[in-house]
Amino acid sequence: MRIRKSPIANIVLLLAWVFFSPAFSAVGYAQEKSKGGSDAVAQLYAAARKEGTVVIWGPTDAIIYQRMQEALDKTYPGIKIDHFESIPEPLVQRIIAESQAGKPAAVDIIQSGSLRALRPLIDRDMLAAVPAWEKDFGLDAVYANHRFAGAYNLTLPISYNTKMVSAKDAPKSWEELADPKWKGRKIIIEARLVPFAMLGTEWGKSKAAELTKKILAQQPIIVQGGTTVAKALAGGQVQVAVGTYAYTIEGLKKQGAPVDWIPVSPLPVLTSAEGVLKTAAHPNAARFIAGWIGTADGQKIRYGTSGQAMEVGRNAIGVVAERIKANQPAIILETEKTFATILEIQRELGKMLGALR
Amino acid sequence: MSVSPSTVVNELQIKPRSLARNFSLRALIHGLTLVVVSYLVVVPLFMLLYASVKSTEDKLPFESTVTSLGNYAAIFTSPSMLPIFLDTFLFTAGSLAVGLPVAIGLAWLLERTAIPGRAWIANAILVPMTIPSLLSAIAWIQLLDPRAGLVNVVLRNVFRVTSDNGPFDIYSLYGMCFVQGLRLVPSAYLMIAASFRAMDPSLEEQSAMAGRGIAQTTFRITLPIMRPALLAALIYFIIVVIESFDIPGLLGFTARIRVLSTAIYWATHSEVGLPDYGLASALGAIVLAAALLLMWIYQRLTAHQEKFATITGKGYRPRQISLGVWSGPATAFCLCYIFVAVLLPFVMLLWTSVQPFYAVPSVDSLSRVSFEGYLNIWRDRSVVRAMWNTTVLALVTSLATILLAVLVSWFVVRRQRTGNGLANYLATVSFLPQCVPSIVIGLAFIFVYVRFPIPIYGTLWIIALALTTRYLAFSSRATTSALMQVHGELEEASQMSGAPWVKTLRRITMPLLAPAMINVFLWVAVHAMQELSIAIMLYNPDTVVVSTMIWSMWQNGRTADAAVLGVILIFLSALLLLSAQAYSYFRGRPKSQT
Repeated sequence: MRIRKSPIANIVLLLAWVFFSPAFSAVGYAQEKSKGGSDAVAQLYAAARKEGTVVIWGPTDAIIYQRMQEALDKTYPGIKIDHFESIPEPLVQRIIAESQAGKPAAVDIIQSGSLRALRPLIDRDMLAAVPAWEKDFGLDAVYANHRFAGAYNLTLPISYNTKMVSAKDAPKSWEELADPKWKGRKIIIEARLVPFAMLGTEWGKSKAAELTKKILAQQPIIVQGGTTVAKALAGGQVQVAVGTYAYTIEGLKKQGAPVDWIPVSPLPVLTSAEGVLKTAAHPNAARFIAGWIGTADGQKIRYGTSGQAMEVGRNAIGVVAERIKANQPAIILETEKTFATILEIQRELGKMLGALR
Repeated sequence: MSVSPSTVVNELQIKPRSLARNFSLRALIHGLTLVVVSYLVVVPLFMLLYASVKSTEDKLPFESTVTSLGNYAAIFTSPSMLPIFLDTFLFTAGSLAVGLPVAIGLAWLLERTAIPGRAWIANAILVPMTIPSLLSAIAWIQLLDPRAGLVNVVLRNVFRVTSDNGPFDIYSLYGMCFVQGLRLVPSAYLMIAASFRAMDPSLEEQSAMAGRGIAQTTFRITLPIMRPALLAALIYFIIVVIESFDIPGLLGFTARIRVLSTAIYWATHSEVGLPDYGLASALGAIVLAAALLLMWIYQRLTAHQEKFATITGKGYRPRQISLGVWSGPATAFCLCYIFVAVLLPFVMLLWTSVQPFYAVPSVDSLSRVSFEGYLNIWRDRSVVRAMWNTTVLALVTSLATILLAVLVSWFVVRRQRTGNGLANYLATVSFLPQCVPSIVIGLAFIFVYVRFPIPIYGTLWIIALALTTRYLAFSSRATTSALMQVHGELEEASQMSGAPWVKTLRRITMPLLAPAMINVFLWVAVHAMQELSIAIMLYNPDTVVVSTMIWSMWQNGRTADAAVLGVILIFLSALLLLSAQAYSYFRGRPKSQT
């Protein structure tokens, strides 16, 4: 049967094709990409399963990986996570030293509490680029030309003791910390001054240094270690704290501690990064696990076991992420573009506390 | 302990040996000691000096191609340097002023007087040494923080003070010196006690018979005889305080006391990628120069060692002095120290281990007490492995260190009499590792042993070797000052009777040195259990140790678990102390019967 089309019908059809074909093709492309992504992930998983093991070095609590293993076995069985818990800095040095001696370290994934700690490995071109994290797993927290995948964020807000300071009186901005009402051992600051160095990337070095100087003149308590800062705040040693993480404060709140935090603007946010060594003995397992941890599923499990998760970006989850979303502060995110500046400012600020260079 | 030289010499089954053979064996062991000590020391020392002239910003020392004195220039042209030197001097002097008199007082009371409960007190005063330094410093903050410190809160309530601050402020130079001083007492006590124990009281008795009182006898007889031991302790602890970071790290930033170790901390733990080993090493080299100067002064002041020998072949009989009416105050002094330095921080640690977060004891915080941590800790699969590794590490390190220390001491003390330059070399070299920052020792061991033909890299043995290097300074100081008080005529008598040198060392020298050796064994074992900086550079999943676990738990916010592990570590160490006590008791009993 031959269908005869009127000229008007032909014009309508032509217009319809002109208007809707891009949309149809976009949907098709998205479906294809999604299908292709799934296939790529499935293929990577099959290769990872063949390797059977992935060795991760980093500061994450061993218990968290034990629990993640249980969850992983349910959805992606056959990959054993061997985790070695330690500070990233000595691990990075060890990896470099062993590599120089011609004995590559027996590690697949190196994880750190910040992007900066892994920078020496980038400088020496020791990490593999993994475009699949962005393309196939759909992660947005991917840095340094696909060499780092974000595992979780570490938000650095102003925190306060709710028994000693009301929400109304708590400082709402960084500048308020210089107010004379906080003079005399009322503030505790972590000695590495990371939040102030990150503020410097937004404000400029001199403004950040000036504010830091003013706050240090308030006679704050300065100690080494974010956990020590959080415990001092919870124990009522001080009224206000800087240098501890929002998720730590949320954890203490759950335990009944009289603490809370303020999503001040701008809000410094560090990223715990994972990178795959070029010399990894299990490269597919490493690429797969680092990608999976960054997905919404991986983040849900990580958050459930530790309270740590991506707190900004596409796969952000948890109380900290919700509060950031609700308050919409300007975010200062540590990226490969800013970590050199953060380092430079941090060194400058360190001189106020006894650093020589 | 009483050892009659004639009895011991008679006990020896004397067989004629050729002097040449005796000499060659001694020379061989001497040579081996020289080689082993030199090798152990050269590795970190080379790294220290090499790195100090390398530009290491963002580079490891062996990656840097630029050689210059830039690191030294950065130090000496920095406007911070003068205040840093001044603060370091004040902090060191203050800490020693607190710690050494207390340690000397305790050593004299416990070793030279018949104070009641000596054995228990002697064990109890060593307990602070077993508390990991991070947890100990935090316990002191919880006690003396001006606002929420338990002692301050109690005092304010008792005296109805309305202020929410004070009376004590731990964030001050005084606070730092007080806490650091207390931390020194157990180690200083161990170093000095053995020498007091070995002192012949007849000299003091003669002084008393000549009409001099206790104070005069102490200042004119006892302290001059103790000069080598006291100087050794003084020099060692000057370097220890200069290098220690825990107290300046937790209290000094707030008190604005910037010391050399703070500068080393900034250079090595800047959390910005690679440590600045060049700057840290140049600072370490400055400490090294100071140590060499101190060693030179020490050698000048103790040049004629036989003056200080109190154990001779002529009726050596150590015994205790009766304190009479002063017994009560003396016991009170010991108990006061135990209360302040042992009980208070230990109770705070216990409290931390049963609380989710620190809070001053109250009805509210009592409701949060939970002993779950003591059960949950065993769920962590690494804990048992860490405890086993820690025990092995402590035993191996202490045995290796003590063997080396005794050999070093013997050659230093006995060969110095004949003016042997090698003896001075050995005395100086064995002290040098104390001046090298722990993190530099760790890096040196990675660089050397990753290429080493014997596969010890990645095993527990490499950590033991690094720790042996680290603790050689304390051990050789302690055994050298003890050996200085043993006159060489006892060994000469043995050898004249035909006993080989090794047998003389085993049957004469070592029994006389036993108190010092036991002390050194305990000190090294307890410190090896806690050491973090070296272990964290060299450990792996198979060689995980308790100190690294405590650190990880603390950093991950598991403070109660970290405190639980700290409490377990203290119990393990206490077990070790009790074992040593039991050994001393059973060893001493048959001797006294003979």
